[in-house]
Amino acid sequence: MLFRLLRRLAGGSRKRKGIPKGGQPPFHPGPVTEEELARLPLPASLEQSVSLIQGLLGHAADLIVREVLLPSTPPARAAILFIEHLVDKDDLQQHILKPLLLEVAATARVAALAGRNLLTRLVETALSDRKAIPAANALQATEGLLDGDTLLLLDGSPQGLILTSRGGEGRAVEEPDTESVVRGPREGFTERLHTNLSLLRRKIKSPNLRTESLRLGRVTRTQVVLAYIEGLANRRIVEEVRRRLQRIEIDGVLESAYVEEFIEDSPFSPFPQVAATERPDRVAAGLLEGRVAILVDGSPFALTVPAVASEFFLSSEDYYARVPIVILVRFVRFVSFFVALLAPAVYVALTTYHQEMLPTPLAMAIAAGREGVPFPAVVEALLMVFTFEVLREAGVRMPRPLGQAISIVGALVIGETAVQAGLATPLMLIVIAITAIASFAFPSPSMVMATRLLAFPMVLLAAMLGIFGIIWGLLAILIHLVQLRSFGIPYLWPYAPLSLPDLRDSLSRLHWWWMRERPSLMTPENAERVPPGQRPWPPRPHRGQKKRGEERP
Amino acid sequence: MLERGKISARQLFFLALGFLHGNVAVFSRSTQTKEDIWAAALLAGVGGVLLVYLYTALAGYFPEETPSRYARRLLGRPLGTAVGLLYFWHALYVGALVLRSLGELMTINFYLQTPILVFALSTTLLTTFAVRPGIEVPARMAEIIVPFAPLLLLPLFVLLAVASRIVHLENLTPVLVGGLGPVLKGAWSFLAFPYGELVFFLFIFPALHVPAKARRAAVLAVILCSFYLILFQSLDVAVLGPEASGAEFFPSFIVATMIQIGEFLTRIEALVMVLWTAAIFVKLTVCQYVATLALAEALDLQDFHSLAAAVGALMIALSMLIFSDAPSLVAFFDRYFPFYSLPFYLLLPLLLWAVAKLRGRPGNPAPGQTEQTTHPGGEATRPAPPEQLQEGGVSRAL
Repeated sequence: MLFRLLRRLAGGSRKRKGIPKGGQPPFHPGPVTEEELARLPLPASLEQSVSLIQGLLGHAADLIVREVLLPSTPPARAAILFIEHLVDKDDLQQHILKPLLLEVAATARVAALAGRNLLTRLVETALSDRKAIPAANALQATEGLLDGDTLLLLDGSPQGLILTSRGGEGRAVEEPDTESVVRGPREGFTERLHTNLSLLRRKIKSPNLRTESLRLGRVTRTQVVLAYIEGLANRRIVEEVRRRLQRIEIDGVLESAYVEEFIEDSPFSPFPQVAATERPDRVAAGLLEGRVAILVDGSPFALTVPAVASEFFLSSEDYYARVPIVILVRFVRFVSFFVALLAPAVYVALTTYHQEMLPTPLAMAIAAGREGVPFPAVVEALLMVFTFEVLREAGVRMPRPLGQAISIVGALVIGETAVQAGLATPLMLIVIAITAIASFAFPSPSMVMATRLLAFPMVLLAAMLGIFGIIWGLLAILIHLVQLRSFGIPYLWPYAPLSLPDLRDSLSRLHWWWMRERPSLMTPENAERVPPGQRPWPPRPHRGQKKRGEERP
Repeated sequence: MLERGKISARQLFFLALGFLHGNVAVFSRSTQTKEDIWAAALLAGVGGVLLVYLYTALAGYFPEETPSRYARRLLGRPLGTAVGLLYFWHALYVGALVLRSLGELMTINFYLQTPILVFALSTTLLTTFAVRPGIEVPARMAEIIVPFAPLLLLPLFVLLAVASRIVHLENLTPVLVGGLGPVLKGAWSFLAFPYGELVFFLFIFPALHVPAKARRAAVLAVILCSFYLILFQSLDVAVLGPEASGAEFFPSFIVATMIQIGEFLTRIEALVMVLWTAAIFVKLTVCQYVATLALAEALDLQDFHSLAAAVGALMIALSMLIFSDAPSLVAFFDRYFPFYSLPFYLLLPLLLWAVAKLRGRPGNPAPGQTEQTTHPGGEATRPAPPEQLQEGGVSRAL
């Protein structure tokens, strides 16, 4: 393939001698692979390299080639190539074309620069305001173009110059729809990687914030950035994340979920082992705790690893609200997890096996309600849980304006009339409603889906063995969870293996001055987050003076 | 040592506590001792602490080996292998007993029509999944289950019983009316079951990060367990009276059915059953694990993981075959089990310990002088890394 390319390229140049300029046949190399591109040097002749790039991009309609004459001494022929809607046109005009055409003449007269190569001179003078990367082969040249950069080719130079000029349309920074907060920053990630990185950089202005870039996807060549804070992140984990990312081979990466599926530890587990978030503050908090973030171009969801179970129970607002409130809120979430998982199963178990556990009036009411229902409780429960799933799915997928219709059909028709028609008991509907609401009380959508998925087998187990079946199911889930790891960190940490200091930020949260250490497994080297003795005290003239200096646990 | 996983001393404590709880709180144990059951439980607790001292002293000679291995070095290859196989049998047998009692608890109280095999089969399926990966999984499960089940909720159970005004402390009097005889008999029974079963932990001590911490964790577990044992057995007697409490199979269960606070909080026995099931599950897991490991090491197998299912199947079969019904099960526990298990929990460990002490180990200081030297080689050959990180296994799992 490479030889054919070179031969055709050489043949083309041989032919060109005879053919007048402008009349040369278009160059069509056909599909090329990355390796072939990397081995293909840029020819020194301007016409040849322009035709090579044009050919490689299949004479794309949006590839703009402008041939210019640089006013240097002697005047040099150059070509500027870019893809029309990927570049920021004003920027291109103001900061690339204008200096090239106007300032080059001025700089050429500087004696110190006289002996230098024109390309170097350009980089050091006229184009000094931006990143300029020399491109020696076709891979670098086309990759730069497709990223939205501008390619500058000089006649007689075997190197091109990639000038950053990325622009074009994209979504502005908005408040994310998921993980909304009452108090806290409102900005969310967008689809553009460099915006996301800048959001992160603005939160963490440490020189130790490391970002490593790599490209994934043979076809899409998606840019993926690995971010961590040197000195805080566990080096072994960073190394492992890097290794897993580099191992990925796929044709396209369109969302960070693609990456997630390649790097998680147990692909068949219903539980998420990688945390995805749209909030820069959450990623920043993760980085500060020694986690590693993965940002994928084209996805507003950044990934943080390692992820542990307790992380999916918290919202970033937990750290902005006052501690006594957080204790309540997290407890509510924790309970709602079990409600979402178990409520239908407990209903089935109680009505089928353990009626004696219900207070007598309630048992009578249930029996009266069930009298007209033709199904056993388990069928009723499965039917209703399934109906709810359908409603929810339809609500998400339907065009927004139709959402109201769904809620009317769901609430009124199915809810109200199902009872009247004798398909379900009112209590069952209450249970389903509680389950649904409990599952919405959750900050993490992926954990919600895990509980919903597991609710079905729990109902079946409850139908088979009552409370014992539920216990059986819970133990099975527990056996699975204690074996699960995310990048080597046990999923149930800090509960199992129990780590008492880390419990300060788990089921509840303590004050910042009390959460003195970073999570111990993530940051083994640099544990201290808050130095001791920062508990605020009211000024007390007598006793208080003595207490102020005291260290709190 | 086939086990590669490592557990912390805290995990050992939870494992031992869950194991001891297993089904002690469920069974009727007061047929002989009647109202003096607390004294019997107290005596047995002291005996349990002594047993732990014996086991940890024995394990201290061989901090990285299980009895299946070091018995060979002490008694020679044929006898040592026989010891390993005996412990395999004992763990299998106790596991089968526990499995059967779980099934009886279910079928007598809740699922009258369900065959007992259903419970044996489903529970063993779970324990097999928990045992297969090695000791770390049961240890972490115990860490989650035990703090909730026995530590938090069982005291709540006592409080509820008190609040329901069903506790009659006069049932516990007169004190020691029958003399010391029945008390000693009861203590003898309690010593074998549950404390004597701690002998299984000889197979688990080598998996500790810091073997020297085994004694403290196990002693704490024994003390806490005896506290609960005293509390529960006395509660049963105080609520039901000495005669009825001895006559019921599952007196604690009857107490649970009697709890009633106002019109609302009634019939919580299913919840209590949930807690017991969880504790029994920990006990079963330990039994199956020890049986699996003892067999694999006695037979010099390359790994034990694949044996777990086979041992589980044997356990199911045995649990179905050993007893015809619940009364004979309870009678066996009360009368014969203390004698049957005596060689396993006392005589064999004592023999091994005596031989180890007589022989000493070349290159090590004489054991038994200080706390450190009772565990020769433990710290030296295995520099203890930061416990948490190792257990977290960043290093190992990556």
